[in-house]
Amino acid sequence: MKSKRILIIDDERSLLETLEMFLTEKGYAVQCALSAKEGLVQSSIFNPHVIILDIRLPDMNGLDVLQELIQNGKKNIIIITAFHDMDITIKAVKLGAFDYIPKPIDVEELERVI
Amino acid sequence: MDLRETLEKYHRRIVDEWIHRLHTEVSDRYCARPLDELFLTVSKANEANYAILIQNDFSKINDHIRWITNLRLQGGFSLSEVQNAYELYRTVLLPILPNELDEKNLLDTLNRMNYCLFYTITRFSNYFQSLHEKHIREYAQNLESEVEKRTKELIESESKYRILIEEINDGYFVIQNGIIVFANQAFCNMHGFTPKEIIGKPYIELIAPESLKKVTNVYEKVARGENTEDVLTYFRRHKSSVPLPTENKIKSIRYQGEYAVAGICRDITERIETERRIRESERLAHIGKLTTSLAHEIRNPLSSVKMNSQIILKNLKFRGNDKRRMEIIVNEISRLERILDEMLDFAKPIKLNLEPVSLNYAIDSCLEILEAKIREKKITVKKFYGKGLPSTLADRERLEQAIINILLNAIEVLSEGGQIEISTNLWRMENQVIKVEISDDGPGISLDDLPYVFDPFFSNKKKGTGLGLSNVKKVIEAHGGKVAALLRNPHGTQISLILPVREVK
Repeated sequence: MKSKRILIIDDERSLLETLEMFLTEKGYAVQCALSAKEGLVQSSIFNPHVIILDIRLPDMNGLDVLQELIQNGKKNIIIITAFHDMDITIKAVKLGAFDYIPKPIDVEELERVI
Repeated sequence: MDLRETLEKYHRRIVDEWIHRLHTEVSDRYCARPLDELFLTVSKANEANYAILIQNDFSKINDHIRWITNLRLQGGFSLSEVQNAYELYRTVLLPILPNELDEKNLLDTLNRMNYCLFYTITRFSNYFQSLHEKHIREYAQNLESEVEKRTKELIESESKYRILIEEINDGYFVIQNGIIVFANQAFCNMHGFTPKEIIGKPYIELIAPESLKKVTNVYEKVARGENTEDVLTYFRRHKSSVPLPTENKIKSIRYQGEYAVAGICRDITERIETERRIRESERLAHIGKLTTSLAHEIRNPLSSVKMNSQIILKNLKFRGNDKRRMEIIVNEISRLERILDEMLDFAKPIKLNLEPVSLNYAIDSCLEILEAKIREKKITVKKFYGKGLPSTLADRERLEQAIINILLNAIEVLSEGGQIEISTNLWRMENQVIKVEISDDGPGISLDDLPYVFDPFFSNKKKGTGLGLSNVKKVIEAHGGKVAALLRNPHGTQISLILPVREVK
């Protein structure tokens, strides 16, 4: 079976590494990006089935990144949000995010969503 | 008996009865005079009448009339009262004469007496009236000069108040039927209008929309004569439409004969700003306390998590990624601890450990500590150190920490090949101060954020606690100094520190 490709865009290195290890062990092909710009580039090269996107990134507004990904035909975008960012979460879902996972991330919930 | 003998014989009786009648029959005013005085005036009048009747001498009655007129005018007597007093002579004398004089003598005497009284009363009337008129004229003249004097006083006091009203910094105004009919210069300045523009303006045009309801309510109450709260706080509307905080005290008055409202208004922008700052510092003190207790609460469980994780990492053999996972756990706990330390540091009151510090030397030692980071990003550091900077008493460790915080921010925002400039200068203001400026040519700070960069927990960095610059401010202010953040042209940030020089003795 050809494994599903997942792209994770998050600037928090430790979280990125943790998610990468977890999803790789679960059998997914995982690619990581530490910034929005890198993520956008990776998404077109890697063509992932699922994108996990941290909505707060240092170099670009997360909603803009989300919009750009959707415009590029990406589906199944799961956003990671902080507990207090309900406004942004709602906007993201309206823009077409597939689902959202609040921080701190529960790995079981993440797997279920994927 | 002839007339002379009769008058001499009855002299005593005539005077006594004349006095008695004068004291009891003529008027309240005569009644109120002392008998001694009446004895004197009546005796003299009797003497004068005798001189006319017997010696045909009018000089004594002329003297008496002059004397009595002045006396009675001063006493406020009327013309007729005094005339009646003279007339009493006839009343007293008439019953006596027929008994003592023969018919021929009597007729002659009556004629003489009538002439005598006619002369007296006519002369007295003329004299009394001319004197009275003179008194009235003098009184009128006095009145005129009194009015003139009062008017002058009034003008002086009016101009005194006008000067007062024009010179005070508080706005003074009068409104009639909702229209401004008077305003002083301060009131005009406060609203940005000239006096010409403001007179005749409806008052509501000078109130910001958000305060309109509140202000009109109070004015309606005053118009109804009700008591209102002493001071009204509202937003006035400046010519530029900017709402400005204002305090206002109004009172209902009469202005040019009609009902009006007069008020004094004062700009309270500064006071509100001070109050805001006090609230802000109270809020910060509160945050400080909260932070301390929160940090302590988190630190304790965290240290046991860290300890146990370290033991597991040491003792267990791991499969696959698990060892890496444990390392991440331990690293992240250390990161949390660093954040907590920073938070505790922020909340702790500063105790300075003073020693002589050379600023230039301190900055150099900070640069040494950060050398690796600076080299990694290929950052150029340009130093413009002032020469002959005196050593100052300061807490070296904290000062260096503050400088490191500033430098770390600069290094972080700079991309590769960026530049940091550090200058130190001795300034002689009231006292000597050392000014340190640390600038970078990074992206800078947005104008909106600039006022807040020294606030605790304010951060644009994803991993920042927002305590770095607030600690800098705390340390520098603990040294009696000041901090400021500026934007650089075309881009970049400059943090400047001003430290008073405390001489080393």
